[in-house]
Amino acid sequence: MSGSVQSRRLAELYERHVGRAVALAALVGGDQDAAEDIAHEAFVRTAGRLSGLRDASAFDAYLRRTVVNLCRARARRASIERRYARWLVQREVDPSPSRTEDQDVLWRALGELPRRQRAAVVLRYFEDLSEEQAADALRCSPRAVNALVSRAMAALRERIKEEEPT
Amino acid sequence: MIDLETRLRETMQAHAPSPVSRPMPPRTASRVVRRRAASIATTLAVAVAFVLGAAGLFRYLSSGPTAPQPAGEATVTMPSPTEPGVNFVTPASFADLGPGEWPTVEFGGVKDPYVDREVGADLNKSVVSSGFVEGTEWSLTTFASGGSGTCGELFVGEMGDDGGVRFCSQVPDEPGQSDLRIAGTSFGLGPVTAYAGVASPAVARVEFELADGSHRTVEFAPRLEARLFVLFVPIDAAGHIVAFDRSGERLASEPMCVGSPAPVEQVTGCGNGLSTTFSAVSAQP
Repeated sequence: MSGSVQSRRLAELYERHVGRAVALAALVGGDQDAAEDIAHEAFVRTAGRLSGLRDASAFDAYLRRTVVNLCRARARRASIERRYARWLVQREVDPSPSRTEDQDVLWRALGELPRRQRAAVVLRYFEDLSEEQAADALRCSPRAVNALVSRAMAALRERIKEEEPT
Repeated sequence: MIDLETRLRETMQAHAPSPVSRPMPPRTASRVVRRRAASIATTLAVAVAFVLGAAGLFRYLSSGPTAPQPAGEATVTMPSPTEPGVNFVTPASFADLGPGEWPTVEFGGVKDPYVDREVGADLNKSVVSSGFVEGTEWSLTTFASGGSGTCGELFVGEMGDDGGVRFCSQVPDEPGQSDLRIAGTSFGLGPVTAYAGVASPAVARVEFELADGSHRTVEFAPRLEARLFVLFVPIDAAGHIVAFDRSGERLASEPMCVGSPAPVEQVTGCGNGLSTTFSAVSAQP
């Protein structure tokens, strides 16, 4: 394959997939500033690993898995945790007027979930993946995904109940 | 009343950046091409290492068992976590470590050694030792498990990201009592090879009798009930790990079982004490 053809195919793949990957990284990682970098890095790694790029659906799954893994690796670093905490505080001070109060409560509750639970919730309800597909991205069993989502939902319900006026 | 799933979807849609398509930044294509070239080179290097390892193993097996040697001059002492760092140095950068080259290992200096906390498991794990291997963090922890006796876990990488291995004094796949339970592990990120194990109270010292005739003695961490040890070895190290009692009698011997380095980002394990391996936190698919 000539360099220009390869470059054009890469550009097409980039345009098709990276926007969604940015959104996924922002939700899983909780840091919208870092999401662009993570999505870009994930694209380079995924495209650099695949010898052929004919199977677009496989590329999507690999890219998603790489995004989740990069978010996880990044989240393990304490400095990033601190930055995220600051970002949350900032959000509370300056909430976007386009979002409802209910959504902000739920968003904060989502941000307080353990990272793996949050990733499972994002993959299931934002990416609309099946348990099997989410398990592939998280590298665990579908049963584990089910358990993670169940625990996350229970925690979210509990948190919302606390926030609601009695 | 909207159900929680719908509210969640709406919330995430509202907060996520809009997934618009975006143009590929300049130089991305060249980065992808360079990465592909590196990936191919790595695959070739692993294949060559595998062939060389197999050839070395064949030569070793063909030459017959090596005669027992007296304890050599090279002795590695495992300090307690509170002692200042000890370093046995073979200068080499991580990626440049070739066959026969010992990795640089430092004890101590890790601010917060990694302890793997399992979800739902109430195992009281404590850190036995920690340090750096070729500049990468490692940690050795121990805990008691009802069905498995005394167990240890060796993790490599910041927050255990390069993976780990668990070994125990009782292993279902290897029934019966043994004075020496070992797990050989190859961490694909590096790569780095290590042997860790747990010895019975009858064992006074554990010695690595290497195929090249050299010896390394590991001592147990002082002031600890658990008789755990770890030794990071060259990626192609072969030989036996031998347990001796106080009178110098050989109590048990286990082969150094790691044949070849694990593929990048994978963790492989072997040995009569191997319980499980923990995969690397992968940044690659």
